Amino acid sequence: MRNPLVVGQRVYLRPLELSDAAEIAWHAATEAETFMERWRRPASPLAFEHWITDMHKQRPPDTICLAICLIRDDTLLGDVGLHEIDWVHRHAETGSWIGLKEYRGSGYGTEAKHLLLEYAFEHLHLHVLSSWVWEPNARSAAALLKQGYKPAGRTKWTEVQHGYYRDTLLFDVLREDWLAARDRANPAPSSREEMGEHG
Amino acid sequence: MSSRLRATFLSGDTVYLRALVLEDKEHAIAWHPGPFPVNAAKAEEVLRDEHKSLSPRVQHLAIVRTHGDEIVGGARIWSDERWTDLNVTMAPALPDADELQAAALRLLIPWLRDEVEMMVTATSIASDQPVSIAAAEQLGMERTATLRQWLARPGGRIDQYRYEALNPDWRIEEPTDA
Repeated sequence: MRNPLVVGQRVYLRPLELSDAAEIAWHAATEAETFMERWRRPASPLAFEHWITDMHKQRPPDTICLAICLIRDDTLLGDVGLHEIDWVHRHAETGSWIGLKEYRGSGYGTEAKHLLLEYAFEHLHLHVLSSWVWEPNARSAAALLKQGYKPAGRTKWTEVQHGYYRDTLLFDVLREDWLAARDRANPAPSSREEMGEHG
Repeated sequence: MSSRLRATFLSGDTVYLRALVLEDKEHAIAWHPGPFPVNAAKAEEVLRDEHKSLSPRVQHLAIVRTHGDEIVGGARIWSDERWTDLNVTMAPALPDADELQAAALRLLIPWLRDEVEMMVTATSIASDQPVSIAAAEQLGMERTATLRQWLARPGGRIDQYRYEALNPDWRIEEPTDA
């Protein structure tokens, strides 16, 4: 593992490096899904380099994005992040993206998100987190619920799809919500042996 | 005198709004968002940076008490052609901050929704600001979201509400699967 910050069973989170920019740009170039309102567009590695450099200049940071990597061979799967961190009110917005489509739907994103929430709640001692999901992106909304987020409401008419204005859904998660979800995903060791690995 | 810049179309009995001017750098704590100190040099940098264009995506206005011309807050307005996000900041330690914020909302929301014709005008209001909440609802804004325990207050935490004013002149057709 390279410079690990939080380590799970199959993946770990580490700081994004400038050398990741080309890989992330390739993820963007090969995006297969159309339901993500902002990400399906070609982006230059130069823009990602700039983003990574800027992010590491902030002290204290208002954005912390971390690379999701496979423990077994360090493959970069995508990234998770805390955005608009408010260090006084101790809240932030979360985001995640699995760039390699063959790793979607296999629990890697959920594991990475649990590591991000562990980092946010247990290391940074944030109190509450929010997340926005464009309404057509039902898969991400379902994943958030599985990770312990609760529906908080919506914001109207944010983006256009097929000629219709669509809403964006808002979710929030407190530490206790996340702990309960994590316990559901990772039962006590004796029962985990019976159920096998989750995801 | 900066009071000459009072926007006649954003003036009320309690407060009025005007463009920020360079002299406002001496009062940045009142209009600059956030609890951290902002000195005059930093405030000048912010003011010059925010006013590089005549039609910026972000407009930052001073909220000024009508009687006495004291700056009591700031309204930061982010907008594109159809969507606007309004962030109102009030000066610390004002005993009537909630009432002043409500007065500013009564000027800003009709302007953005009915005159500028924004499709959606959104703002956030803390759950311990009942006067502003009442003003938003009287203005026809809908509470579209509640973020639990979002804000820290001495001795505890409170929710934050998101309010949105939808412009009925935009004849939005809802998708059939919504």
